Amino acid sequence: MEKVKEEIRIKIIHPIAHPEIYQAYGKSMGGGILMYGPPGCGKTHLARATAGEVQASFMAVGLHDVLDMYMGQSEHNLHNIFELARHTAPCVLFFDEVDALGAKRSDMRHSSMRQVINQFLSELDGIHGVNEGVLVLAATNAPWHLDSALRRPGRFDRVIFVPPPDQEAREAILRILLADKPTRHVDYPKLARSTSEFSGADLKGSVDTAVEDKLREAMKRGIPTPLTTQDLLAAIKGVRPTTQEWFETARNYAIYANQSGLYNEILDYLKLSKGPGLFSGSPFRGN
Amino acid sequence: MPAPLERARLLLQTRRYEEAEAVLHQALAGTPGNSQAHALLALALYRQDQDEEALQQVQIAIGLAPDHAHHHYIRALILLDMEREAESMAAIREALRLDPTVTGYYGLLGQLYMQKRAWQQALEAAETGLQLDPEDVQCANLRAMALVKLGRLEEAGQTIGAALACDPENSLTHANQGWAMLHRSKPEHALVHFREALRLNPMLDWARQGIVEALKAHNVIYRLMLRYFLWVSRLTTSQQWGVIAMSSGALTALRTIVRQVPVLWIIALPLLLLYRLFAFLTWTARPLFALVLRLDPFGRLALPREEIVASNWVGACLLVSLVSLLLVLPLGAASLFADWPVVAPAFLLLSAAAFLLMMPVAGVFRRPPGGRRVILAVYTGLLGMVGLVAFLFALTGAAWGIGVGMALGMAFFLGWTLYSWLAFLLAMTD
Repeated sequence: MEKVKEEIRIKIIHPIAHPEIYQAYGKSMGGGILMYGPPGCGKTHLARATAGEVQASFMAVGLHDVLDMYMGQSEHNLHNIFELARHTAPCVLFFDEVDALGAKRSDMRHSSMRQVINQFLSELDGIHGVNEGVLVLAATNAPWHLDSALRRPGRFDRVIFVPPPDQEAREAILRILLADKPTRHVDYPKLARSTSEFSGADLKGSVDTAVEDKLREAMKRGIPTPLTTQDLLAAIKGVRPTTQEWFETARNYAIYANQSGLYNEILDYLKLSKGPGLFSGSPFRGN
Repeated sequence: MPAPLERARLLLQTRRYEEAEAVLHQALAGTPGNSQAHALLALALYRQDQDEEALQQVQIAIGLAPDHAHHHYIRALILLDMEREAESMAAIREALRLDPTVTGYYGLLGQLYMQKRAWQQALEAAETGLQLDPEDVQCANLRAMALVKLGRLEEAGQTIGAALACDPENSLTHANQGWAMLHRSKPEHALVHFREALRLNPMLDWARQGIVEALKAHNVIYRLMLRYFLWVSRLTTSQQWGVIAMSSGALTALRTIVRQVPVLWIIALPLLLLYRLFAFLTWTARPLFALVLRLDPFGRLALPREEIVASNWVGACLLVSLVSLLLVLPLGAASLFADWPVVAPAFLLLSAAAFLLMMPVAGVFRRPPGGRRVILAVYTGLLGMVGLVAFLFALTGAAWGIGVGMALGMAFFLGWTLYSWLAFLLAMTD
């Protein structure tokens, strides 16, 4: 997660906070970061946190802000959003679930969405106006559905994998989730160890389940008792990490469609690239 | 098309099925009784694997507009997903009756014929579709696979070549070309096309199965077995039973001849042994060579979980068999020359039982998950128990123990022979 934060600092927060340093190096303020990873692991939270950090306007754009049933209107809507961002620069534009707006054009041969994707690419390039001061953040659960043209320099030139929280992060999340709840001798490190592969959303779900079970018990006994490690472990047992399904798909993309090296971080995360020679001479490992 | 429906259609195109579903529910709340909205909702639900609900919606759509061919096509798609092939066939026929000019309907009809192993009818459906649109990739692929199954491999290669010229980025076409190459015993060429198919669509199961077979086919023994498997896959169900009946008949005839002319054993014995080995390999080749593939760094990753599990079980049987066999000689010598109990027969028994057990274990994984697999798994488990108990009795080293062990060993062998009949019986009632 620290790597993701650092990339956002370099690309978005620092250019706005210290424009003079960037100007001194002749580096223009603009471009984008694409975050991808399993659902519920904090991509949208990171964007919100960025919004809180930067002294700039922040616009979150969803598919419904763009999509319009009338021919050409969706492109027009998208253009207006970028125009507004240019007028209010410095501005951070955040596209959640960007795969909807930037889907592979080869999959959209006979669809009007193809024009929307073309429009999105040209807006990112600044063909219809100068993008100086317009910083773009995007998030997706399905980077494999994105048009590869989006990853060209000047568009989303930083593509970052946002993994599920590690043990330390899970412990911190659990501490936050349980902060305002009655607890007794909760063994946070043990809980963190028992929740590998859990996303932040899964952790929240587990805590909610434990609280509900405790409430049921309190109603039955008439005496409310605090949450214990055992209560939480019982709730955790009933939760199948939602990240597993994502990684099953991601694993296939990382093994078979990694010619550009886009999924190297997934290979590393899944420990599928134990040695440099594993995929050497094979087209399955990207450079 | 009304605005909300156009929006839903766009959402479906961009794989936003949940959002499309929400838009359609909203549209139907505003204007109920819109057959197109119900049909699109059925499609959105079908894409989310909610087949029961999808079927309900498309039935409503058909009730509102029974003469709309596309509704029947969507119904056929859903029914096919629910493995209700006969009803799906009826639905697509109705769609074609209402509108015989849509290429995609012929594609689905051909697909259903392929599932019924009716290769000729599948070919005819694909060719009718191609008459309407000579560049339709689905029908071209279907034609190619029907030609492969009919043994017209050259024509199949040409058809896929033409389809690739029209759409070189079609993962299904590359996968089909890979399979066509496997049918032509060209695993290296097949590998190239499977890799391309998987680069384009790593989630394509058809290509993932193909790449595993192509990788296994690096081994010459498996390549021969694969030739046989693919040849059998080209036969219709009745032809397959014909092959089984003929080979069984030939075996009986050979035994009869040998009984009358005992000198012919010299020729018959190797033939019978080869046949037995071949029959054994038809059951065990896939998991056994999956085991070999696991030594390859890429092959290990390409294998599906199911095959890994199967290879684990078969590998465990093989390991027990080999280790027991290795122990027979030193244990036999120890009991002969030292004051050791007579345990070598027990280990010989264990080795044979574990070796034979590979067949029923592999057979369990040949069946799709479900009740029949459970029947085979329970039978195999019981067989394994009998073998283990036989070994434990024989391990006592006493004459009575070895006797009971041998008797149980015979029972194991009888059960093992009956297993193949049980498996055939289950396959026949499919």
